[in-house]
Amino acid sequence: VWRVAELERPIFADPSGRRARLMSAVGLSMMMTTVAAIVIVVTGAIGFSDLQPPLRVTHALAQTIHRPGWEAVVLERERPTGPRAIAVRLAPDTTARSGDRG
Amino acid sequence: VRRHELTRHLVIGASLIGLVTLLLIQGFTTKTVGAEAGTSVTGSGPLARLPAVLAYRRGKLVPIRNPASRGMIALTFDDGPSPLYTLRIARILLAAHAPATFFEVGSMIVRWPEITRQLRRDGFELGNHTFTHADLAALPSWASAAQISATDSAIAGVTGIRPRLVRPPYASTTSAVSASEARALGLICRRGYDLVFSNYDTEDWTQPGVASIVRNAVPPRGHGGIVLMHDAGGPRGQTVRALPLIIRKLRARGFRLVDLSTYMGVPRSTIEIPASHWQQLRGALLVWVLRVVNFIVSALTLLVEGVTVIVGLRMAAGLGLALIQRRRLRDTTHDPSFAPAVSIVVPAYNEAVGIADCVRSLASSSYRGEFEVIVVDDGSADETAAIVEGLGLEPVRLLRQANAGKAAALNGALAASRYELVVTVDADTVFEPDTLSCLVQRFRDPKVGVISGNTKIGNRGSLVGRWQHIEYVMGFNLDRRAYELLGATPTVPGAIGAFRRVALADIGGVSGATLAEDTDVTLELARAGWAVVYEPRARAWTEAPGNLRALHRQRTRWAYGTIQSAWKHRAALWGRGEHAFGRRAVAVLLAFQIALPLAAPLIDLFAIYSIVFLDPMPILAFWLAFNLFQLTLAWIAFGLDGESRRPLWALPLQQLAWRQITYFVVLDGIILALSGRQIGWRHLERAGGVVAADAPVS
Repeated sequence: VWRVAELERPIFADPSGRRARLMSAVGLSMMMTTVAAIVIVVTGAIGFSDLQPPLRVTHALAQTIHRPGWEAVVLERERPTGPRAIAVRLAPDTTARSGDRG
Repeated sequence: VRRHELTRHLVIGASLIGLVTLLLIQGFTTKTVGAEAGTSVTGSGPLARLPAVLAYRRGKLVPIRNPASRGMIALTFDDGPSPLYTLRIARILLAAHAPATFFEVGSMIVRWPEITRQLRRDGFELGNHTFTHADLAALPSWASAAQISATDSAIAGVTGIRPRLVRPPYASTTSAVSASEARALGLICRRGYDLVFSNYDTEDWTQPGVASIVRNAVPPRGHGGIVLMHDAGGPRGQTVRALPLIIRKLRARGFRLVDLSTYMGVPRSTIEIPASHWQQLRGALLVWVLRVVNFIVSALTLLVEGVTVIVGLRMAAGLGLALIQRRRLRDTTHDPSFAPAVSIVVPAYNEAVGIADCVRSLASSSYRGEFEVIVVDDGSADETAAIVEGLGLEPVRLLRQANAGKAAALNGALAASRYELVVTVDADTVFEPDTLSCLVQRFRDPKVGVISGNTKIGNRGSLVGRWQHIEYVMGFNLDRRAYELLGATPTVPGAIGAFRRVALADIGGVSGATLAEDTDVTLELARAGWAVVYEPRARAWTEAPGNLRALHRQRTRWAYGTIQSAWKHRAALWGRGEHAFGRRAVAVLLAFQIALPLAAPLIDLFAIYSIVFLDPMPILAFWLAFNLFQLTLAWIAFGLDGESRRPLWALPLQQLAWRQITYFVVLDGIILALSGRQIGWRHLERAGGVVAADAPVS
């Protein structure tokens, strides 16, 4: 008696698609973990403060901001690796004539 | 389907990138590339006249002097932490109430963070000695900055402080600093670090003997300074034994033992700045990620070593067994009078290109016994059936069925066949006139249930065809011969296989549960206790995929089918009452067709890793030896098959390419299996034109 081969269920078949969705989630998590590990190592080795541009670059960038009556101020903070710019903020230009402020 | 395929390939690509990243991280954080100690200077360097502690002020390196330090000695230890020596040294220092400073290597902190933590708890000062003990002058500025920053982070993660003191490796005193080193050190100092050299180098790393270390560490009265010793980086037993003597002698000469902050005359808080919560978290994460990476890479290294040994043993054993099988086969005589009736079964789906050559070669066999040829047209959309009918050959019968797959076509033909021996042939395959008579010879042994013929590549003109030719010749003439002797043949090829009808009836015919029906049926018969043998003289010429895309399609099906078969027959490995043939065949399938290909990229990646991060010569020598061995095997296999050895020039590239293809398709198959998705038969486009060449087989 020969079996009816076409009626046999293929090994591993999951018509519901549940395992496929699970695998996608696992694959995505693995990729995210790898990316996170790379980010941790790179930032751990180099440090975020070193990713900030040097002060002179920040000052040069700040000078490109023009708004009548306001001036761009670079806020600095002393870090163990030297002074770093932490923000650029607009402040009223005290040297401007009255009426210049927009 | 294409989207799913793309996703699977993306996952495989991402896994590989992940693996490469792991190795890169591990390599760069534990090994120093191109930054071993450079040339050292003695006495004439740009910092030669400066004292042992330097800082960066107003654009240049300036000395830090403390007038009160003349009567002080600061003991310092480099290269740790070490599980063997650091805590022993710390215990001696604590017992003697002697402060000291430890300049630690980042990669060692990652491995032994608890030791660094213990040093901190015991009140010792900590300094930065780079991450991999690198010569900072030999590194680009970004890399030397990373060496310092990463060590900074690691210490912050483990102890909560960020040391401001850096001792550059390979420069024990200021007089040993070259001009290029001074420039590199200047860049480090600009980032807010102070440099610490030494006044008295014990040279304990050369293991000069306890007396010599003591002599080097104890200066004349009133000449205080910084003493350099090592707590890691090699055997430090002499240092440990010398330390109590050094402490005693220094005190006897009136020196006061101090830590570096006291020696420099600055508050300790200025050389060990508290790390912020974020810096501590970042450092802790760095340490843990690197610990996990180190663990994974160590485990993979063990795996690669194991696999290398297995591959070597397999190659050597395979060769020995193949030669034994050849000798035994030579001793068996060919009996032309043994010619039982045979049913030849040809399942065919859209095989219009090659079916005529196939059927003609079968019908014109020189076989003396009675035989019939049953072609099953499995619902072809082309002219396959019409061509077979049109041939009008006498022993040929045509069966038609709605498309139901190869297994169903084979079962249909089995049901319609008349004789006790059944030969299965793929429709793209051509027999030689004496193939049939050679094939059935071994059925003289009643224990033999299945015989594998010798499949030859008929279209070997292209590079891909040549690669497959090499693969087939080696696989059939070494592996199959060895498997026969071991009773472990996992597959009888679909292109040419001979079966006892009673054996097939035992298992109910061919199963449609896998995409590798040939492997499935072979394993089932082996589990039923039927001996599977190989007959190299029974040759069948088949058409192989002519390009990489077609090859990938075929091999993905094979790999997936193999995994399905291994899973289906997994009980053979441990089930009670299982026949040894089945047990061994499933083990061979798992080991050499699934596990080994998966290890292939590891071997290649570790070879590259070793070349980049370690001494490249041993690995290159090993690679050369491996290829020579492989070439020897191929040379012998081609000789056994009576083949010209000219195509062997393609062997080195074939070996490299084959590993990539096999691991890729096996990985693809595993992802498919886990996700529960199915792939179809993936019928290949045929080019036809396969002819039987003439070559003697030994």
